[in-house]
Amino acid sequence: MSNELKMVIGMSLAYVTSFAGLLLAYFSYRKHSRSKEAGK
Amino acid sequence: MVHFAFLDWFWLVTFVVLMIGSGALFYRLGKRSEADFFLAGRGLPWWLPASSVYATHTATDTPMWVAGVVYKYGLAGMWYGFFAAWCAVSAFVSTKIFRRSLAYSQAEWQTLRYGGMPAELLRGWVAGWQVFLNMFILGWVGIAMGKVCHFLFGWPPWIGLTFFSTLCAVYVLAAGYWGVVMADFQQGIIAFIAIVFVSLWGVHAAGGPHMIIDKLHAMGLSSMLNPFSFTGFAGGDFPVAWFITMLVIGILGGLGMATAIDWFPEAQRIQSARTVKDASWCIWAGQALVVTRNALWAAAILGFFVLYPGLTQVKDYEMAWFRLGFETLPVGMIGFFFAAIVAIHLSTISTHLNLGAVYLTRDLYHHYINPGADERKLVWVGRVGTLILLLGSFVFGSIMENITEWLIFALWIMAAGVWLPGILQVVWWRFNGWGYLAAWVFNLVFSWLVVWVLPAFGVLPHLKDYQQFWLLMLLGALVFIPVTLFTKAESMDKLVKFYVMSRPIGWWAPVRREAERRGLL
Repeated sequence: MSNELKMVIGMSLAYVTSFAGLLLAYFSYRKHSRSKEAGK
Repeated sequence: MVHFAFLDWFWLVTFVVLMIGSGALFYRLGKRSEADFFLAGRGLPWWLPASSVYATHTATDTPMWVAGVVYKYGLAGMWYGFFAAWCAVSAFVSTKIFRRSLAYSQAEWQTLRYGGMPAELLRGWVAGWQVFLNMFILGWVGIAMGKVCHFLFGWPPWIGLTFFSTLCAVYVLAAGYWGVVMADFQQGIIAFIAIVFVSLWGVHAAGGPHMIIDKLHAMGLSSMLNPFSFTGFAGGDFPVAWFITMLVIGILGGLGMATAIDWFPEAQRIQSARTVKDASWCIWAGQALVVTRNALWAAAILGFFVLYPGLTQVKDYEMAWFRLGFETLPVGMIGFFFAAIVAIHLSTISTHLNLGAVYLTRDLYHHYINPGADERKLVWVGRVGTLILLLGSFVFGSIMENITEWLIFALWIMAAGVWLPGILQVVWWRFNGWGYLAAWVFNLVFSWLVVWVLPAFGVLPHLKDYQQFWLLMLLGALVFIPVTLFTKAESMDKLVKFYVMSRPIGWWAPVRREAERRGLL
């Protein structure tokens, strides 16, 4: 495995999990905002 | 290969039973609630989380790291432990601010400091990042134990990786943070006794301090004894500019909070302390023990160096401290030494199993997926999270030998871009969630450009570590400061609530005036 590929794997693993958390937060926020608006 | 006598087995079995037993004993306390499973009910006196800070930062790979920097730079290499300065400042600044906030985790802190969508996005981002980071460290430390067992017993590395982490999971699954911190206390004592004993024994085996110094002088390597032996102001492997950069990172960094290098296990210990004062002293004392430990190891590694001056390969000298113990201790003490290595290992593994589960449970599950979950369910989710981290660490550990060096580098690069925002979020009221999120995301782009892409196309030369740090910090600031100033400030209600609760230092005058006007101060 080349050094560049190792770097790609390392960086990607870190950011994939972070983006997954961010997406979960986004969809959850949107869901709560909608249910708040519906409750008005 | 090492051979155990009866007394060696006695030490090992006794200590392992004590360590796991002392953790599992707290099963009833750990299962009471989410706060107990992850923060021991926030009721610990300072010396318990302090011993946990020290024990956690003493891992199987730490003596290998000390051996590496001492062989390469002599005593000057110990400056790489600059994180101690971070904690020394943080103990009396950001530790107090964070403890007062009552956040369970650094991810939760985002929603206390900021409001609206950016706060939620940050909480999700930081939680995801922390799950990765803890799993990565579990794999990294686990494979270091695999290497030690391979060196000692000839076992394939996966046995050392999986066996001891699984043993550790027994009490972390049962008692959560109660088990972690109680076992850490015991493991910290065993580890400290072994570090003092084996290091002094090693120095003695090398002829004593005077002999070591004389031999280094005779070898023409007196510079190894000088902690200020640098390679010029800006050039060479360890220039003064790098030393100054480390000092600045450590001292100013302590004003803020880190989510990238090393502050994250501290965050949990801070919140588990029973008062703000206990939180401060636990961080200060824990790091004081770490610095003392580093000094003992450095002396022992110098002793090993004069015994084996011809070792040039990392794989040969990284085991220096282990070899001092196993090659010079008398029969019957080998088992004691190995039991201490197991203690060193378990204390780090247990912390990261429980800490990663905090983010999975408190932030991702409880906050986003099932806000109505009862305490019983949350404790069980915490256990499932612990198990996921354990299994994930086996996967990471098995591929780690190939990617560790690069991953550590990647983590360091990411730290450069969020170091300043980590401080600004504590000391500047106007810094907002969009600015902090922009710092995280753009740091990904900039680190790729500065480290790989631009040098590959000849646009930028290959920069030294300290040059990369300052450039990445500057580039990040050129994005997150405009983003902060061109987006709305956090609502005054949110800021006043945060200010009254956490009492941050720095530029908070408009918020303080508003809090006073409302009669809250």
